[in-house]
Parts: sequence; C-alpha cells; structure tokens
Amino acid sequence: MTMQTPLRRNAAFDPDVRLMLAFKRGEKAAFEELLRRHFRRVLNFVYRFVGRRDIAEELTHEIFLKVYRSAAGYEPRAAFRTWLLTIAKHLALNELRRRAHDGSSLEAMESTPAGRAPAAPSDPSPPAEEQLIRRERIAAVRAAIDALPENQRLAVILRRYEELSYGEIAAILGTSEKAVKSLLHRAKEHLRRELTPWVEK
Amino acid sequence: MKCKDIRTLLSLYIDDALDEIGRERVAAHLGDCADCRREAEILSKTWAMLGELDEIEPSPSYLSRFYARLAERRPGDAPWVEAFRGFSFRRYLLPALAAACLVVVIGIGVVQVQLKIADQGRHTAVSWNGLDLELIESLELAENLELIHVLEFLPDLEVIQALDGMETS
Ligand SMILES: [Zn+2]
Repeated sequence: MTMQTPLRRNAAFDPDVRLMLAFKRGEKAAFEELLRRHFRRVLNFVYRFVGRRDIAEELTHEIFLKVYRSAAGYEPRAAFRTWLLTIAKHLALNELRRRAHDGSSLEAMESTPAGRAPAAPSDPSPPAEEQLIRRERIAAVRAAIDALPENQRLAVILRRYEELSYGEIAAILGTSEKAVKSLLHRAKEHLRRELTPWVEK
Repeated sequence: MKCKDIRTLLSLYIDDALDEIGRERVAAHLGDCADCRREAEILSKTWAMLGELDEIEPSPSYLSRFYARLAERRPGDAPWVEAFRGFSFRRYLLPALAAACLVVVIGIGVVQVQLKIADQGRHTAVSWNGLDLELIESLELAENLELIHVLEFLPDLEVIQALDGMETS
C-alpha cells in the first residue's frame, strides 16, 4: 500500500481525525462537532447519488451511526473525509442494491413530495417562466447523472461536487487514479451527449 | 496530433488533469482547430451545468433525530438486558468481553480470508483495496461491539476503552 505512509502522516493534522480520536477517548462533544461539520455535506453526497431526499436523510443518519459505532476500532489511516465518504459509498450502494433486489425501485416513488427538494427559502422568486426553465435544467442534470452507471456517477459526484483529487476518489472507489480518469472521461462524454441541447441555447 | 486523439484528452484538459506536455499539445491544437475548440467549449459548459443541481439542507431537527435513533438502536429495551443489571462489571463481564474480543479477532481473520477469495474473482473497476479492507475490519469490529451496547448502565465509550485496554495489554 504505497499511499498509506503519507496518509498516515497527514492524518495527524486533519482536524476531523483529531475530533474522531477525541471521541474515541470518550469526548462526546467531539462527535457532535463532527456531525455539525459533516452532516450536510454527506447528506448532499448521498442525495446526489440516490436522487431521493427522504432516502438520503435516512442513509445519512445510518452513515453517522456507523461512524459512531466505528469509534472503537478507529485508526487514522486516511483523511477523515475519505474514510467518511467510503462508509457513505458502501451504505448508499448497499441501499441501492437492496432496493433493486426488493424490486422497490427509486423511480416508482419519485413523484412523492418528499422526493423533491424544496426551493431554497432565500430564493427571491423569479418570474414563473424563468423558474420553469430553471427547474427543467435541473431535471435534465438530474436525469443525466441518474443515467450514469454507479461507478461513473460516484466519480462525477466526488469530482464535481466534493471537489476531491483523483487520488482521493481512487481511494474511495477502491480503484486506481488511471481508472478514475477513465471513469470521468466516459462520464463526461455521456453528460456532453445528454446536456448539449441545454448549453447550445 | 489528430482531432480524434485530442478529443480523448479534452475531458482531462478541461479538468486541468493533464501533465504539462499534454496540456501544451492540446492547447496548441485548440489554437488551430475550431471544431475541437467548439467541442472543448461544450464539454466545459455541460460539466459546469452540473453546478445547477439543487443542494438540500438537513431537516432542522437532524441532531436530535440522530440521538433519538442512536438511543433507539441500542437494544437497551431487550428483555434479557434486565438479567445483566446488578452484575458486577469487573467480576463477570470482563472475562466475557475478553472472550467476545477473541471471537471478534477470529471473525476478522475469517472475513479477511473470505475477502481475499472474493477479490480473486473480481474484475470490475471497483474492487476491495486496502482502505476498504481496513474499513470493513473496523466496521465488523464495531458490529460486534454493538452487543456491548446492551450494557445500558455503562456509558458505551467506557466499554470501548476497556476493550481497547484489554486488546493492547
Ligand atoms: Zn481538432
């Protein structure tokens, strides 16, 4: 594992690793601090991956329960966010596979009100037509991302929204940087095909 | 370089992920070729368009909901918990926990072997790497520790510390 030495060294300077270690020592406030720092981000990561707000909330709670229970065996082997997102990826993939297996597809419930995120309350309400176009563009992006195979979708989310390096994405996906570049290349080609009509307007 | 070769590099180019030589070659080609320039523009615009996706906020009560779940998941209300109450932790439970640790350690060994076997059959781009293995180990360990959460009369982290102490001593 060639990448572990620098990760191990850097981990000591990661404020989240320090919080996790403090929690392991018994400081409950440290865990709450981790929740406050990361809950929203993990929620959005999962939301972008599964596309459903209600499922994303559920899963995010499960992810942090896992983090809570993992404190006992926690060793700072990687940056905290890499570790956290690896847990998030595992649980989100499991959930998608469980649903696929049970036949309870995500699309089947897509029209429930909880499935759509409400507009941010701070939005000044733009004219109706503008708002409609905006919603259509968002739906197009959503559909283009949803149509990606899981690996490509994860790579896109980690790169575009989490702004992670190729190395970090490779660690989370359990693959090489080269494979990540290839995943992203294919994903971008797909997104270009799907979204070109929207950017040419 | 031909347009075809440039096109395969464009997605990395717009992400600034090419090395210096690759970057210069693509830039030089784009200076001369309007078609590839157009292609690069569309690629970066569609990639940028992803930023329009909505962000969501956690529900306002997410912290209290988390703690409620945590309390609910700890099987403290299981009937056999009562049987544990009144036992002396040091006299009865430490040996039991030590035995549980042994089971966990053996369990991890089994999981590792199974994962290695599973790994050999894997051809997909996403496979178990060191990080995943380590993660799974710590998750497996944590799963087994859930058993210990039954001991409601102890703050869970004290138990965890006790386990850590035993493992290292
Ligand atoms: Zn060209």
